[in-house]
Amino acid sequence: MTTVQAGREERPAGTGQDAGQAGTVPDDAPRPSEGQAPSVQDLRRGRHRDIWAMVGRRLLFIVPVTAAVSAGLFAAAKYSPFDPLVGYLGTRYMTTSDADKAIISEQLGFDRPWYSTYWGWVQDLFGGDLGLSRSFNQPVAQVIGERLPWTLLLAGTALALAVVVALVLGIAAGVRSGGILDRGVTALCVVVQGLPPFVMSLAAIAVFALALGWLPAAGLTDGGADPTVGGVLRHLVLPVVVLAISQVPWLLLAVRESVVTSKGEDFVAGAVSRGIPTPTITRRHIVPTSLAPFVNIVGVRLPELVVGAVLVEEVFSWPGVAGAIVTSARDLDMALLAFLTIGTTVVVMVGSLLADVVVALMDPRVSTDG
Amino acid sequence: MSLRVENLTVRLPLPNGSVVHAASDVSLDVPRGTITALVGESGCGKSILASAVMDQLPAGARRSGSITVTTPQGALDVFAGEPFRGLHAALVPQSAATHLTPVRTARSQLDETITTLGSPRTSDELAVRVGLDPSALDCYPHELSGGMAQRVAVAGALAGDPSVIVADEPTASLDRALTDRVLGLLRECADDGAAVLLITHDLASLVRTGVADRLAVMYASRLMETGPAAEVFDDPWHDYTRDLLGALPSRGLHPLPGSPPQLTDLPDDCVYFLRRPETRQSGGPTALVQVGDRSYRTLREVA
Repeated sequence: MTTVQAGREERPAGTGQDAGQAGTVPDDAPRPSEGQAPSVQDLRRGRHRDIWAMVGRRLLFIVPVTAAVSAGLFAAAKYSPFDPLVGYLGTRYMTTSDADKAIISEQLGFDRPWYSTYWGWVQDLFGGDLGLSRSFNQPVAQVIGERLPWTLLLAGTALALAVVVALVLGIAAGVRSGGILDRGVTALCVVVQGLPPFVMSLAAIAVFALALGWLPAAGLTDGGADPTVGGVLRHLVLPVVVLAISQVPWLLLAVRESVVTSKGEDFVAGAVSRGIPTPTITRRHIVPTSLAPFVNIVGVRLPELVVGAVLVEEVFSWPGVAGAIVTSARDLDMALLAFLTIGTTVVVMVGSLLADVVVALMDPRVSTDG
Repeated sequence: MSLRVENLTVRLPLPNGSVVHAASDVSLDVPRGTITALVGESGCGKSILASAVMDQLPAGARRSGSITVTTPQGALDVFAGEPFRGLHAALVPQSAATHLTPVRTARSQLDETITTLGSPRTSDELAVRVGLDPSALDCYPHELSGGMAQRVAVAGALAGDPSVIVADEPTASLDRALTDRVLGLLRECADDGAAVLLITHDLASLVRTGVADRLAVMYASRLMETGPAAEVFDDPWHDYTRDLLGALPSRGLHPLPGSPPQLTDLPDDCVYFLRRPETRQSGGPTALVQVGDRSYRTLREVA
């Protein structure tokens, strides 16, 4: 009995109940299971297999979700208070006769039930036709092709900036929690969190574009000019900074929180007792342990970034896809709206999957069960 | 190459205004090449002594007295702020796995310790020394069993060839076979010349293995009795030591009356009489009386 217990105690934690052979397992074997002792290499290989399995499972999961989201979108559009005819006819809506409206409605299929419209859209989609955007009078593919790069530029730069600022300030604040920097930064975060991005955008325009005249207020280029690298960069500064600032608080508070938590853990005391100097403990023990929860938060809250991008693009007349979501929703421009909605859904799901993969790679304890 | 604790008193103020009496006027010598076991029930202040030796008392702790580590280079005051951890005094923590950073392998942390301390050892060499297959070092802490993690912790403590090793309940979560192995490892460290302070509540293992050279018995932040372990086990002088030993299964399993006292806002003297009213060694001003190489706490002679 004693030998069996000794064997079990020697088994690495988390391998569950043992088989009768536990007593014969060499007591240094890492993670033996079912009486066999896989090597550390096997452990790592198994881990990678688990992560790939998670990726496959989650990618498969995207299919039913996008199907449900798109169907829900078409159903909701049918019952929305907006009339697609208003969007289509614009100012002519008031001057068009009811008979003409009925004809146009029928031609454009506005009076068909939503599932019929939806089915048509799905068939076109699988035929490689994204349809025509009524709001922009362009094929959807062209709208996306022209606008997506600008959104990626804006959102990508803003997210990168926000992550860097949040990491640097969050770690500094967390390491010396309760200090002046920590209290200042935390208070500022709370204030910024309470400011909606459009208020911040308008304030930024009022101060830096109108009052000081340092930066352009809106658009991608100065009126009518061809886009140049310098010109675009000048126009990029305000929206990027506003979008980044609007994302910084929750990122920063998350970093700070996980650093503060890590700081009080036994492993920090352990490193101190082994004589590891404080800067090394921060860099090689606290930060690596805090990063996984941080990446997790980034993944979970990607929708925040999308919402922020929509608002900022609107206010700054940035010619990206996020702003086009608002236009297409108002006009019930279903072809474009459906593509953008599904695109956003997929971006959020793939983003959070990517975050989970990074977390699983960074923290060997994280389960990949989904 | 020895550890000397002199008149150490540690008080931990709590946010609610009360004060934890963690150690009261504790004096203890751990000579080189020996193991001194500090025993007592859970919550008597033993572990605070480990934190104090490593100068890792909780923030806000008030202390008086001194702790000196004698190294081949001379005497070292652990509270002086000089780096000494790992190099002159090392800690074997209670829950070894949680004292390793979870997202890095045991090897990476052992290597880091070796580099930091400028030690000539290698991690594989240390692993072999503590009876661990070197390939186990490539595991993450959560992949190690309790016994393996404890041996990694001992390896980490040995990295800098310290003069003093403090083991804080190193066998708390281990079964008998593993307990004996870890205690055997500490014995080897002592035989190699280290001064080992073994903090434990597991008297049964001490009696069984005879690993300790000297014994110090603590109750409610105070030392009750010290002396050569074999003599104290055979013939305890303090009533508390006798009660503690009497509770062992091998000695009749007589439970101690009541429960160990809370350490918050203790009176300024020994409180054992509150638990065992018939004792004649507590209940007034007490002092440690030295007789040869043994000492015990008893009521002060009223002249």
